[in-house]
Amino acid sequence: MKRLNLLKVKAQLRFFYFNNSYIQNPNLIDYFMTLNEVKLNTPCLIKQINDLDEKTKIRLMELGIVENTKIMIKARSVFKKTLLVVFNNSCFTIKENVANAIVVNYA
Amino acid sequence: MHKVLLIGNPNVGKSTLFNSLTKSHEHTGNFHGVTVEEKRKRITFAGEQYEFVDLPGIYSLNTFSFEEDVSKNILLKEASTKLLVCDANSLRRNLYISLQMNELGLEHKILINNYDYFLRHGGKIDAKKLEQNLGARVEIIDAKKIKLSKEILNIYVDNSTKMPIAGNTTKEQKIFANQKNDMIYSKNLQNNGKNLKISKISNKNASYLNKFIEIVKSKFNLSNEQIVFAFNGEFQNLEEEQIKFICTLYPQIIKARYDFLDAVLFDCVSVKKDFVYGASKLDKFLLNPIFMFVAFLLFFFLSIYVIFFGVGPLISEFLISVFNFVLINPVLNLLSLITNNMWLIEFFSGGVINSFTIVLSFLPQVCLLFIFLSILEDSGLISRLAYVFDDFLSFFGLNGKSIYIILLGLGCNTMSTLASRNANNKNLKIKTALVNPYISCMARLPIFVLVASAFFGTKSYFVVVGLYLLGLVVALAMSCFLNKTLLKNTESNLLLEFPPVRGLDFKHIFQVGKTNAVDFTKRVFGVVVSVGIIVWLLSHTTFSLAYTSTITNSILFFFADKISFVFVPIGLNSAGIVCALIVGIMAKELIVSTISISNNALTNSALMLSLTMASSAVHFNTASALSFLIFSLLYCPCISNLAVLKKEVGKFYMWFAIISQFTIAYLLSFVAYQGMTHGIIYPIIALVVAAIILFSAAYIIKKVKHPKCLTCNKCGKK
Repeated sequence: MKRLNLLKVKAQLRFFYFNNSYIQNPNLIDYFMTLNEVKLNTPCLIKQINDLDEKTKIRLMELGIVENTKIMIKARSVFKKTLLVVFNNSCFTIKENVANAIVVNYA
Repeated sequence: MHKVLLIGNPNVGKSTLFNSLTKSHEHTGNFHGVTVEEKRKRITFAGEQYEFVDLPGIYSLNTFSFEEDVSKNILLKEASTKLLVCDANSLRRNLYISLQMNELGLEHKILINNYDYFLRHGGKIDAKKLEQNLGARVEIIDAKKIKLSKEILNIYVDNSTKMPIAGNTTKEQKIFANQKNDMIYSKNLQNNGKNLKISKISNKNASYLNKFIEIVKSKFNLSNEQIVFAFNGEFQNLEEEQIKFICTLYPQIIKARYDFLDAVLFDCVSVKKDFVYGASKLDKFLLNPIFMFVAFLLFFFLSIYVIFFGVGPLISEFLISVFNFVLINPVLNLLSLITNNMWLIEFFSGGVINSFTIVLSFLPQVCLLFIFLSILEDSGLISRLAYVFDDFLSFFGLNGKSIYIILLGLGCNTMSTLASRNANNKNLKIKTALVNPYISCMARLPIFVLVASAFFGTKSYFVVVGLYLLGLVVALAMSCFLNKTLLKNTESNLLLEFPPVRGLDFKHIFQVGKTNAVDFTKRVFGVVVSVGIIVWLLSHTTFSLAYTSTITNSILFFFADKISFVFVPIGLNSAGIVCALIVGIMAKELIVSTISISNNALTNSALMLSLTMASSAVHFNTASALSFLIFSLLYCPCISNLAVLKKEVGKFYMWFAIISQFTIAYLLSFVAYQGMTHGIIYPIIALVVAAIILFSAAYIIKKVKHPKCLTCNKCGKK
């Protein structure tokens, strides 16, 4: 329980740092992390995309990676540089820098 | 003439449809990035002319790679009937570009492919409802089985788009009907799209795009056309401030488009809850890096063995003996009956027939090589390979898609240079184009097999495999060098859609082998035979234009002799070898034909024997043979590859490629020749292999001990 609370605080601070704005839900029931930190085969919901060049960000959105899209990591490569993700009934590979930029919470 | 564009996301079946409609055999594959340039074919059907244009895949008009730019330019600039090919299994994403095309007033018809796979996995599409909701003609097709007919052409090429009448009054259809009234449509689409006339927007109902147009108009004085084009990535005559502001609206516009699509697809498309297109039960093996790495290496070595030391040579010998029995021997006999002119008889046997035989002897190998490549492409394994190799290749500044380019390079370097267009940033594209000439293409295989078999006997297989690996190592080293110096790596984002693993369509695979054999023959035959004849003439004619059977008195040898001193340190200073290398710049296939003409050897076995004889015009010892093999592997791209390089990466990098390849080839040949001559080649090889193993081990240990921080990659921890 204590560890979960610490994780929550850490994730919220990180979200605050990335966003520079507080999350709208004051109850803070959900806690946020980057897609890269999520376990394999665990569905989560996308909250937003940070820290990427505009071109890649737009392309991700156009592929359907937008707010509240369900996403799941199916596999990670050996050196964790590439991830295989499933969203909108499709499989895509993405790089770790992209996964680090996608903020999610558990579905 | 009716022009028909086939457009759509990658790997939906556009090229397959193109092949079916035009009875062509363009390159297709179960992989994102097979088509990298437009393909056009004109056909005449029922007295009318049609031009079908197959375009590279494009997800959106906000393009992400160079191949997408190709499609967008043609889509916007060429007035034509547009057929949007969609995959039933990912319809929502495939229809995104349909909305963008609607916004720009580009009328089109929607063809839904792969519906049988979708049905088998519990999905369903109500095409009529979808047609009503979208307001565009929707057809469900099977791209493989469709046949061109008058009825199909009337449906596809009919330029008037009949707007369906909204049926009952469900909530979603009302939303659609209201939005459709306000949707921007074009009245006149001229050639370059600049005269696109956008109708005045009605403010009655908020439409998904209208509100954004109003937002932009409230801030800047821009026309509707400019704004709509800017929403789709075309910033014609806009200032930086305007572009920046419009780009901030993109996320909301994209969301609005998808909300609209969800409303449209709500009651037309049903998808099983746990359906994932692209996932396969075999993925637990196919995504395992150790399994895939080992399996790929085994497949690679097995295919080289089968193609060049197993089945391939057997089929070649059979073909040549049939060719000799049916055509050559009767022609030569007839010739010797008609004339006693030695020059004419030698010209036919040594020049013309020899060149034919060289091409014929490697035709089965070409066929088999493309069959093996096609097995990888059609099955969907290339995407898995790209995923598995991405970590490894990104260390060298490439990405996983480069594995496809490397595999293509085994067939033809020119094709793989073109395929570098699927890179999504300029540096990566140039890097990929510059490193792929080091991968040994099929044109060099005859040289390897011939020389290796003549000098290395039972070890020739290992020599050939070693040459392939050397080419790969040099390619990766060059990529590493470019990554640190001229072409520093901007982050390469491997966004790659996974296709499903499909069963092999053997009919298609053999068709690919046959098509490529025919293409190879057409492409190479004319060049090899004509250059072979020219080489024979130059190597059997003196300066006084008299025939000579002694090749050393010829014009060609005179010039080759003048520059052969350059090749003394690498043991290739024989004029015959220099001739072959110069001619090889035209096309690598010409090296073997030049050697066989110089040595007057009409069969492969005679040629192999002549290479070992000091009396032959072109001969080697073991050291110079190894040096020759390495030099031929690396020295210069062929003329067609240079032409594509110049077009794709510019003059500066083309010259960089020529100079760097020649330098590397010379250095490595020098090491090999001197090492072999002084008996230290094996220690050198052992040292190099040990260095590679140690370096790799050190890298892996470093990665395991100090993995990159997953939460923040800016912390700079070592």
